[in-house]
Amino acid sequence: MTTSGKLLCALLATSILTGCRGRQYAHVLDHDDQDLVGSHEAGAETWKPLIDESVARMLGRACSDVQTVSYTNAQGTPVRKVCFVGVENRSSEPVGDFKEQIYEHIDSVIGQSDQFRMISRRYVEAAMIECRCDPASLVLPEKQRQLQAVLEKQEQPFDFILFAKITSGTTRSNKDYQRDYLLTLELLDIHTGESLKESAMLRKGYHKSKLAAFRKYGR
Amino acid sequence: MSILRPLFLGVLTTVSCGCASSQHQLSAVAAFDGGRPQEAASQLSEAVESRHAEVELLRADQAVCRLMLGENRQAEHALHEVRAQLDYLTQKDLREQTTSYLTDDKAVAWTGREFEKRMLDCLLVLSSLTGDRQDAFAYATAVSDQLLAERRDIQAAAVASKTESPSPAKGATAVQGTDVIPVGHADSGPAPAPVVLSTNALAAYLLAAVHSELPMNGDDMAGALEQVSYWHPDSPDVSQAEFGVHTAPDHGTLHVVTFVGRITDWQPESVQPTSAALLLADRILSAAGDHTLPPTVAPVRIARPARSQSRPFSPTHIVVTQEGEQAPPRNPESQTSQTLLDLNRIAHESWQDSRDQVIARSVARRVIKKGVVYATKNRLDVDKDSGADLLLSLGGAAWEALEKPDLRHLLLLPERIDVAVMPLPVGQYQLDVGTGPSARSAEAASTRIEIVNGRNTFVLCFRPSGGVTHVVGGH
Repeated sequence: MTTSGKLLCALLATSILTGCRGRQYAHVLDHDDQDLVGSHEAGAETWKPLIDESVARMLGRACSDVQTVSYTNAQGTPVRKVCFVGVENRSSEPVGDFKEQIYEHIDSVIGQSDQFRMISRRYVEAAMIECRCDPASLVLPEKQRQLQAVLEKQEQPFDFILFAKITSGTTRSNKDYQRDYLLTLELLDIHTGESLKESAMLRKGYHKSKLAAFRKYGR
Repeated sequence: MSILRPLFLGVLTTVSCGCASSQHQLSAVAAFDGGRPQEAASQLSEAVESRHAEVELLRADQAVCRLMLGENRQAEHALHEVRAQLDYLTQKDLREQTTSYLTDDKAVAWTGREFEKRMLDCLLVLSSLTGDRQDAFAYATAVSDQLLAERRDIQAAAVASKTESPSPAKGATAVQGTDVIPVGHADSGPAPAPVVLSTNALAAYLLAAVHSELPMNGDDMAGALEQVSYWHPDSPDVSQAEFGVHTAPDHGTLHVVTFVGRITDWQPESVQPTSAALLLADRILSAAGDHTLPPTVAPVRIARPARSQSRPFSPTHIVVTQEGEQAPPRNPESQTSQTLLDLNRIAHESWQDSRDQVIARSVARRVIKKGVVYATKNRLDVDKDSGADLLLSLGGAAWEALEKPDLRHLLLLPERIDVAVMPLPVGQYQLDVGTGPSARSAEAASTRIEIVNGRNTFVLCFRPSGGVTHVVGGH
């Protein structure tokens, strides 16, 4: 092969290595398809089970522990009116668009219980804007009273404030690390100041390669 | 001749289309500078019709004109499409890569320099914030992911370069050879942010504004404001400001974002290859075949920005006067905007950052072209000093001379972005924006705005040649 031929072949080879443009592809997952596992951060595979577990524990505990209610349903069952004031992210990772979904999941799952009545997020947000309060400030009785007053004007009284918090803990071993994710739900009785706290944890290992994961966990 | 005629006509058509397109672009720039965005948009439409390449570039410039005209919906739509197409074009293409080694860098589809893409992302958020706001959260979330990933990369590169070796790690090239903002060190706090990425300060500011309207997202807003300080430590009071629901009760926030001037043009520059560029060129050639660099390499032509910083335009003065019968009489409030971004400086840093790589590609291309010419001579067994030898040598020289630096860039971006943030009581206001202290000079513009409780009101102000020509948004 001549030099120019070799050169052009080499150029072609280099170009082939660089690849061609491809259009993005998408597909709908079936119900039994597993969630993707986030390679760098927590994703659906983390948040969904955490929400399910923490909410289930909260509902279980709530049946017996807290009895302060201002409302009972037709069967005489006490119903707790809950003002869910948001999800705080105190973990070392950005939650991104999952934050909104975590709120909506918790809100709707708890709202399905007969013993809880969740105040619509729209009322809560409007009230929080009006009294200029954020979740952190709502442990103060004065802020609680302000929020209560605004929501009562909208005929949305509540007995409990629900806080959700995400935290994480990281353990490093050279280039591998394990991160423990904790989702904590805290139901605060605004009349007594007592709180009911439940949490769920999920551990996740991050590795530089699949081989590293195999070496640690054998899979 | 029967074969040559269509070829000749094809070349002629291509050349004339290219000329017509460039003419339209020049007219668009002149119209934009003169404060006539409608005319600029029309000229760019005609340029799009007469050109088949770099359509994204033209459409992005057109979107800036649409923003200036207050046509947020069209601007947002165009920017969204352009951004998606740029992501697609950023992937390497076989034909383009091959052609670029035989012609020049312009053979590769325009995908914009990194800071230009970031500016398009910011414009997308702004177009939504000044429009219906439906997708502002989505755009801001995408921007947020990018900011955090880049910051993580910078930190990781700083740690790697400190602990492993002094050679640049992945991501550290952005820092190497460019100005960095001294905000700390890898072991004493966050790694410094390179100036070339300081467009992220605007992105973080917009992200903070989006989160500030959500009372449950106070932590996200605080995080975004911290990002503003990180990407631009000299940032004005913006990072200290309180937006949206974090203002006093019955207050909202007015944000005036001013687009000052027009970003620097890029011009050809003849440079002597640096040793770093020669090293990179050698790597390219090693990958492409058994060629080596010649002992001496003549200067090559690359593109560089004409200006290294923004022109000294005066700051923007803003005066707001409350209107309405129910409004208690209040003195007009005024504020002077502060510079958040100097895009000419960022362009300059971007040039410095990529300079060695551009030179390396140019050197490699030259060696390949020479190699092809010598190989052709050998194959055809051309005698030295013969007519054919002369002809091939001249052809080779012409081939090299046809190579042009890649001067493509977004023409209608501002050269400076100024920001003013004013918490105001709820109500209707008249907003006067000018360049003198009174904000009511001949080169001023005004509009009516509404401040809503706990919300942000965004106003875009355009000063393409210094004077205020357009003020849009406010509702």
